[in-house]
Amino acid sequence: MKKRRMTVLILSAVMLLSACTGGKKAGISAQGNNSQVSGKETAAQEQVGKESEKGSGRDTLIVALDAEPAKLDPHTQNLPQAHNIQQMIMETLIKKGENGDYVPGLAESWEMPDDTTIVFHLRDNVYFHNGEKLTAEDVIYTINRSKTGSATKTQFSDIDEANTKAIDELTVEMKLYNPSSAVLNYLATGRGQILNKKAMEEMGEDAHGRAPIGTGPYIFTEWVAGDHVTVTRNENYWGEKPSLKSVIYRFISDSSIRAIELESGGVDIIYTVGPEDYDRLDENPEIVALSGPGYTHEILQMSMEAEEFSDIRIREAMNIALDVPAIVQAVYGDMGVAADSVMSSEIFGHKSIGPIKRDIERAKQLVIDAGYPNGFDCEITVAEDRQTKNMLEIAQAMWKEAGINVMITTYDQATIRERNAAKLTRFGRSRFNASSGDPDHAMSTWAIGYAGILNCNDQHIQELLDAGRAEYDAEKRKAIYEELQQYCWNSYYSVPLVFAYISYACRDNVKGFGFDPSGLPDLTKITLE
Amino acid sequence: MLRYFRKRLLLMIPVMFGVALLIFTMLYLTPGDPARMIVGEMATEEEYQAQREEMGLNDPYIVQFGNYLGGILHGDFGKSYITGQSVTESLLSRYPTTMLLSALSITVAVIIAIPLGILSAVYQDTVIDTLARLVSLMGVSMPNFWQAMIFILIFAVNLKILPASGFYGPSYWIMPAFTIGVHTSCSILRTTRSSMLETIRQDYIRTARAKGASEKRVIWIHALRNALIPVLTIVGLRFGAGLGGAVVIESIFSVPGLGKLMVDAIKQRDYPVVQGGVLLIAVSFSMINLLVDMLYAYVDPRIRSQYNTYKKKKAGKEEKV
Repeated sequence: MKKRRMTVLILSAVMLLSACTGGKKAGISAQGNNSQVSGKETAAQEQVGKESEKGSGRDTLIVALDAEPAKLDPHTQNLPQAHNIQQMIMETLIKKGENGDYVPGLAESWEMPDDTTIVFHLRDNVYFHNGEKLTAEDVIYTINRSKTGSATKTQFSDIDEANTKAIDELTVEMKLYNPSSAVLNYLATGRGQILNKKAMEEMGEDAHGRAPIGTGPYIFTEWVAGDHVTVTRNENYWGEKPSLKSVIYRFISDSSIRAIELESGGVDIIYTVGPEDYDRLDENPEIVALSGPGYTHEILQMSMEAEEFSDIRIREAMNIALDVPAIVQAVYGDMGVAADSVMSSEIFGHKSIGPIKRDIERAKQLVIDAGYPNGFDCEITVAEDRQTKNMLEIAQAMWKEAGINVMITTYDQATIRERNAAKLTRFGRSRFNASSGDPDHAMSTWAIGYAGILNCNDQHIQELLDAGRAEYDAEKRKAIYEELQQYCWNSYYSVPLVFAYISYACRDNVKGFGFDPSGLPDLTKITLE
Repeated sequence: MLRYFRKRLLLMIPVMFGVALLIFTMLYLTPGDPARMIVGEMATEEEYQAQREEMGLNDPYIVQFGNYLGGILHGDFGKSYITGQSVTESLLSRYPTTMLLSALSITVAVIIAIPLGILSAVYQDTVIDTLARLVSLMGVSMPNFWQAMIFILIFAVNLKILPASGFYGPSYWIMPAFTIGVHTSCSILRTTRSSMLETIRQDYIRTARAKGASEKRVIWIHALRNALIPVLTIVGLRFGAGLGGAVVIESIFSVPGLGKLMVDAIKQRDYPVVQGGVLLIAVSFSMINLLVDMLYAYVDPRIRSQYNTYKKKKAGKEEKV
């Protein structure tokens, strides 16, 4: 009997122990060898835990992001979370200064001999994290790659890569197909980060994407999938070295948990504060909450291939039936403002036009005039999102008063993308973050059918976009984008909804952290007190 | 016994084939195109078709399944469409965390449920029984994400004695393990109670008492061993279910487990990760069931004798041949 009992106990213990010991986990080394199973994840995780539990005297910053990027690749990744980590590791030829002007980055100077040529002079003392020196060859390689990258090819379409060449080891002559004021701006964003040709070729795109090599102030150290990415100070950095030894980016998808972690001191900074948590954090004396308008706009987009929406009277009715400020106030409170244009108020060239005043009687009349005396039914298809759904439910009731019966259908993001691409969406939603802050970025989506929904094929929009890109004079450029916004607004192609605020919060011992409308604050100047 | 174990292991091969076929077909039929997820809706038709071609999505169904099966047989579950990482590595990096969380949760559940279930049955219709049933009913009725938030508010926010999220060490394991464990313990408690109630009314229990066995011996040796079979079944099932079913708790506590990986992969139509994950969970579930079946034999001599009969019958047949 005793023997049997022992056997049962041993079997149970084996089951439990096999689970508890866990075996080895995949850890990705800084050298980017993602094929090896290093088994150092447990130690890495314990390190994160210890840093979380430490009080004062820390030299590691812990930042909570709301999602985990798939890769750290400037040419294929659009997620701001990826750009946030990437900007610590990789650098651009030029940067945007505090006043919005361009300042030297990896290029110590540059000049434009004519409207379609930019000559960059690279710094002579810059080395990648693998020890390779930065040369013109790396810049040429990066430009060529950016021309085919899914996240960059539209932005860099003006670059004539065939005629772009290295003048010498540290000089690059970039040629443009046509004058383009937007190119410099894109080169100063994460999309313009310079890669090391040798590292990319040796590691391969996938491995490099999970363990990138750059020239930045921090070196990629580890990526524990589903949990965190750690970067460590680059002791051989060419510029001013950051004071913090390392930064850990934890991925915490639940906004309430991010807020609680900040309150309990588990993390130092959180991005994307939930509207329900913001006021509580703001009132906490140990926490500094920051919010403000960003570069994001959210609009409802009608398809010009749908019979009812091809009539401008219906499109106007869809707009004037809504009291957008009331909807935004109800859903966003102080964390957003009703859209007064088709691009964010923070973007250069923004023109305040709206919001449109609600006129339900005129909306009813327009629906009747358009040939729908009994009103009409339509369907809006949107991705699952709590705030959008809440806004649409209020809008649905307002549209109903004008005789417009809108059915709200939600799909997952994959299905929405498939439907948009197949031009099945007749009425949908678009939330767009023009993270570069450039009006060309914010408005270019109109030219390419607005995520496959609009399909208006309006040549005037394309003409104005081309004119805006080609104009180097700031005032003239601003006037072009103002005209473009007015034109899009008057066409009623969309129902502009909201400019949602960007929000951050940090512990009060974090010094040097400031609000950034792009959602990509610079963490290299931060100190911990 | 070993022969039975071998037979069960062999039987897992067709089961795994069925699982692979089922999950492959379900994903094949699911709306939402992985190629579209990668290139985006703004991509041209040529770029989209090139991506589909590269991913092998333009091949006929049977060719795609054949390629997938061929890969599995060579130990290659493919690469993630989204991260480009090896699926085997991605799964193995999450699996130990999930196993640990499941094991801890089931341990918590067993520690709570079995003694309470026994007490509840032995002291039927007393205050202890009513309290145990009430706790069990409350536990089952409360959604575990709500329990999780309450635990976080109490232990992380107010008392500040446990970290709110992460899975970096024993102090981080407590809240997720207890959240799942408390929830799981309720069903185990109810099963233990009803199984014990049925057992302690059996004639042999009366006989044991009549022979002068102590009450402790009657309950712990005579009754519990016989009442354990349904309890073991539910413990095994809940342990297996925890491998893929703790998605909500993993999300709330930011535990980098298999469930969260799978849900993200489904959202992004990352088919290789979903297929590999389902197979891994299916294998684990089958192994846990097999272990539970073997435990039956050790707990109950009647079942062990059936295995022996099976062995003898098999031997007899071989002799005749």
